[in-house]
Amino acid sequence: MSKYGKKKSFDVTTGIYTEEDLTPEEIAQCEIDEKEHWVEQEKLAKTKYLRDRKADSMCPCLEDKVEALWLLQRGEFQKFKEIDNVIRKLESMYPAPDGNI
Amino acid sequence: MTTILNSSYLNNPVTVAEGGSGVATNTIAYGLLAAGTTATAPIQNAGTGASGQIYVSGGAAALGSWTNANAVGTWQLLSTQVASNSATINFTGLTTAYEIYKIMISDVIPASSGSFRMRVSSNNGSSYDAGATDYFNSLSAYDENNVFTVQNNNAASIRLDHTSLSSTSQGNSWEITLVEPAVSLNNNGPFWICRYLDSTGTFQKVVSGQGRRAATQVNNAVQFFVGAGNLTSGTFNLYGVLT
Repeated sequence: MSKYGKKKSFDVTTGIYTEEDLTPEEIAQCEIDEKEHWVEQEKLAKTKYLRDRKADSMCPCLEDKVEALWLLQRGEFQKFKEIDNVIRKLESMYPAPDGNI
Repeated sequence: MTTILNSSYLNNPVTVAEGGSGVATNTIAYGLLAAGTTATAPIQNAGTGASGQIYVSGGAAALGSWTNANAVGTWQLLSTQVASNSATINFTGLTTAYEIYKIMISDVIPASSGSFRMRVSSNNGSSYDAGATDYFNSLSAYDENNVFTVQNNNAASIRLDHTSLSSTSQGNSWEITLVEPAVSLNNNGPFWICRYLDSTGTFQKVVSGQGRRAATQVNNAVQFFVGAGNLTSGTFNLYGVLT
């Protein structure tokens, strides 16, 4: 059985219930769906963050910070560290008007 | 029924009080027999009804009546499926025998925070359409703070929520309607209303929306799933209005 579990079906015409393992094609589709899900989630999270921080949109590294936040949320700490270093440098060069975002 | 002729001791026909039926004939062959209008009155024949009909009580002081078990225009519960760490919940064999299908979904919990989605099939579930531009989808959503409108056109599935469901929430419920899905139309996709707790665990969202296959076709099967992981739980009741 795949990590996605089984497919459960009911046929209205025959009245028969079935529970079967996913076919390799169906598992592949689940993997595509999962990948697309995370792309969509990332887009939604960034959009929300940018909207919430509209007042700070003059900050030169806002989008980098959103990316860093997302990486942190996903547990990708190495990438987070790299982008965090860039943000720190940018902030020292161009401090945001209110000092933070 | 016992009828004793030429007896000088018993009535003819023999009454109920005498251990008989109180009638000389059952009147209607194959008819359903019922007690009389009093405890000792002659038995009654409630008839046979038409083929497929069922007998419905008329109460304590009247004969019952025969009625259609599956009357045209009435809702019929066709199936109940319960998700249990399931990849998908499918309903196949949708036909024109039912003009309208309604899927009442309650207590959906995804294994991990994920979007709740739907696909259709034109080959009775052998495969479900999942092309990158197979579906049009639009919805409006609101919670305690905001109102949203979203168009998910040219998508690989129909998204039934606005933002993902919480994996710890309970009471996530959908009411989904399909009108004539088994007729080849371009507007035979689902429309729905739902309420769920979003993945922040803070907001109860209400969503109403519609979706359709970006092609005119018969949809004789539908599939429900979450975008990531599987369905930990959820009850899916399928109803149909008999044509």
